[in-house]
Amino acid sequence: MMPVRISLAFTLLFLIACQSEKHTEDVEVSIEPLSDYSIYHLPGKWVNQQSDTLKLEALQGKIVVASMVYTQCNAACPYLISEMKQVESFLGREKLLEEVVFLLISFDPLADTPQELQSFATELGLDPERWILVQGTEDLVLEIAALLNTKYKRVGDIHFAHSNIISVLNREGVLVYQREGYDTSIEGLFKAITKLTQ
Amino acid sequence: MVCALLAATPLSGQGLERGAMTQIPGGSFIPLYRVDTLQAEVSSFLLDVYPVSNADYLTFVKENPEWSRQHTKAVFADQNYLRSFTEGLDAAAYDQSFLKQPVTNVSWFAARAYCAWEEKRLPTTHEWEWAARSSETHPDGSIDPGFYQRMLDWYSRPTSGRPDTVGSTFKNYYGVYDMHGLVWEWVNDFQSTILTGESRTDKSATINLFCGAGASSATAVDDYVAFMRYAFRSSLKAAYTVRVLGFRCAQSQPQ
Amino acid sequence: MKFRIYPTRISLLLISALLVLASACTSKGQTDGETDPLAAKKFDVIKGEEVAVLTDPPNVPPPITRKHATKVIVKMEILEHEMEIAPGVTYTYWTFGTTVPGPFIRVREGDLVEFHLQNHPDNKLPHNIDLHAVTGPGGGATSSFTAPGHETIFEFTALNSGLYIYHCATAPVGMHIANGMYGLILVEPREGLPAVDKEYYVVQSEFYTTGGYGAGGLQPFDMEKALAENPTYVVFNGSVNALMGENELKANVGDRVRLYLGNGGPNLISSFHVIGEIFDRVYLEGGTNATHNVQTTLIPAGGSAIAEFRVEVPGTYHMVDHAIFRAFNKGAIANLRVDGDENLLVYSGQRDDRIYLPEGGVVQRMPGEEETKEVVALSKEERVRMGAMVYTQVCQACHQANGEGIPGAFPPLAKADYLKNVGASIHAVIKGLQGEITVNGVKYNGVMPAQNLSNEEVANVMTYVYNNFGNDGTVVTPDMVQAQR
Repeated sequence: MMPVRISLAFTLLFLIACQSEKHTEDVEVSIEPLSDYSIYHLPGKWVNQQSDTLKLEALQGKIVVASMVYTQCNAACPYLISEMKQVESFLGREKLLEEVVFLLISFDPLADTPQELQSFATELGLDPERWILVQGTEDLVLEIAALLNTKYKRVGDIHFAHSNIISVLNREGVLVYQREGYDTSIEGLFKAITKLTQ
Repeated sequence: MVCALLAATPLSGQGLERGAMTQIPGGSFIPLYRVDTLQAEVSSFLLDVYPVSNADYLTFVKENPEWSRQHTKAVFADQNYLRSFTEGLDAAAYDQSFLKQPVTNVSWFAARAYCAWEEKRLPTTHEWEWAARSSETHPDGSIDPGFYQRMLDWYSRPTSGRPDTVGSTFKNYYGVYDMHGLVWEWVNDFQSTILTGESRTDKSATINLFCGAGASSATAVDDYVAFMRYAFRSSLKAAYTVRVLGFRCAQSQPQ
Repeated sequence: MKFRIYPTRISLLLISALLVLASACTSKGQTDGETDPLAAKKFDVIKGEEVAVLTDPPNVPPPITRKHATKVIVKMEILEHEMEIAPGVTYTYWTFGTTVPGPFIRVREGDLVEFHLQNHPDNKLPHNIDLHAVTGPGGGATSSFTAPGHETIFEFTALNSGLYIYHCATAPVGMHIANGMYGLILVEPREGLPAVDKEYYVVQSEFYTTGGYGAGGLQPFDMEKALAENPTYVVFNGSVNALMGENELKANVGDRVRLYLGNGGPNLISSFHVIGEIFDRVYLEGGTNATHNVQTTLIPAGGSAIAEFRVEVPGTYHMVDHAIFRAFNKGAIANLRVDGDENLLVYSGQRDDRIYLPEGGVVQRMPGEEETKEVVALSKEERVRMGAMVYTQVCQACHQANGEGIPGAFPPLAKADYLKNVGASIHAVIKGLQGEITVNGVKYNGVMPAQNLSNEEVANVMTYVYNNFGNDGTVVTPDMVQAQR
């Protein structure tokens, strides 16, 4: 195993109980050295639906339920998002909502501007308290898809062929669970998340 | 005729100037896995004449220590990353044949970082497949009798120890060496091969696993060599390092 | 009260209709005590875990004795490497566990299997595995796609008992299988299999090489031949002579032998036969149904069979694919050597070896045989005895065993007045006779062909005739015969 090394690029800020979902500017939060397997080691800046810049490590401390979609998708993506909303309801009943953030990453940074993401979120009734929609450069999208084992390619001008995956990251940003396809139940997702809250 | 543009000094007899490139003229062809249209268009581009060698990569790591074995995080390269660089980063510590071998046990992230350092990028799947179609004498190697069997033969031979040196296989029609017969090579969009690995359903990829995958299906059932390349790529994850997997870089040309 | 008595005919009709209905009901369902094979499977409680004992062919792990389900951990490594396929000929095999076929896996119905697939870093290609014992997508193939230098893990419950093929299913599938990526997994039924004395693991398969049978050196895979389903080699356990010579299977007289048979294909169906043996029991296609007294059983490509027999007699028994050119020209032959005491009642071995003559013909010689020195009769008794043999072989067909002949066709020799003329009688034998003659007052007008006999033989047979059938006891000598020639 490689020894854990704190990169010089990381600024160590010790924040007490900063669990707010709203992140403004480049606030870098790290409580302790990140696991070597955390995807938050991926450098780069993203922009969310409120047009705020955001770095992935800002998600530390929360359990993240993530998927890659694009706003023009009319096949599987709406279904995936509705399943994520089912997870949200389930967590609400279990009073675990405080712990979790829902992350949607767009395949298409050109078409999915922050404004598009915002209207998309409003249309689908995604609660801004816990739903984060982001876009980044094409290169960043390529890299995050690689880290999330998500295959994709452009077909035509608007659409993408892509894997249908819902991923769960632990509080350190390590990928702990993935559910591929949508013909199996989401029981596994509930279990994976519940396990992380214990 | 191909006109070979070299981005570095002319090839010497050894021909191992780092980063020597040649132009691959544009065209269209039918790739094994179609996208939405049957034909894929490739614009002309520059491609490295040789795969990146151990000597090249040593230089890269010396100048970019965050990509050394110790400093690279597991999420970007697995524990076999650069496992053959046992003597440190000084080229003098290694024998000549090792230095001329293609670098392997490098992940996709590492390969991308190297190409970015040279102000290049990895080739796309279509660019790579297009350049690889040619035999020594024909841009379309399928015309060349025996070419297909020679590629099949390479897959039939197991890897014995380390690969041979770069330039040790054949030079193709475009002046590019070792597109077949030396190592597998990373491409930038290896994740665009929409396959599950369960090849019996991969003939037309499962609709539910992949959104929009109805468009994805194999165009030829008997191009075994192409099947093996696509299967290999789809078995990879970005952080994987494999003993028979290296890479070379490409560069876009202004159109 | 009045009630109608149905006429007899209608009663019979009613009764038979009822019987038909009754039989239809019972034939649709099961007889009492049988479980419905299509019913939902019950899951056993899993107790403990163990690492599976895997064996190289032709051996199998020992029978399972535990009576509960357990978690079985199976670790299988894939290695691509060169091995000999025939004397002087090598091939790059892609193998599970370095052998072709791969290791034998033995589990029990209801077991939970944790399967680890390990792809050796030296390999060129990704691989996966489809076990026919798995119920689930791809038989495990979707969950086991492994790049070189990596390992994947998935789990399954062995829901059905039986003998199942496993194989690689990575594209191009035909090539992966053609290069040797297959083996067998046995899921023992909960109650176990009947005890036997020897168990062996034999898998038939084909190989397609550019060179012909026996062409030397490292032979590459030939795709054209594979597509045409025209193999160069058809072999048991991966190579010509894999089960011959010092590697032949062994058993002792009296052993109950069970063969776990598989067919990796990729293309051909096997007609499996053991020369000199009959399968006392065959589990058809490796399933639950057993049949008895089978000479040759089919093993489908990608399928299996279990053949059992008791060996009774010592010797070397050849196992073949009875599509016979495969056995003798492509390598589909393997040996089972049985040692022990003879049992002549079951099989006597050769009792005798003698010349065969079709009736009415001449004494024949074996081709290439030199004229054997004739055995010369040294006494009248010998002459008569030897003559009897000639009579039986040459004369009896027409003149009959008792010399009576056939009225209207063949004249008698018994008390025949014609025989009083010895010279004419000899002449008839050596030169033939046709035209009308009278024997014992009866006219005969047939044809007697000339007999190609030596002087000794004529002398013998005629002496026999003269000294039997109530004739006068004349002795005919070879000189007398010679005089008539």
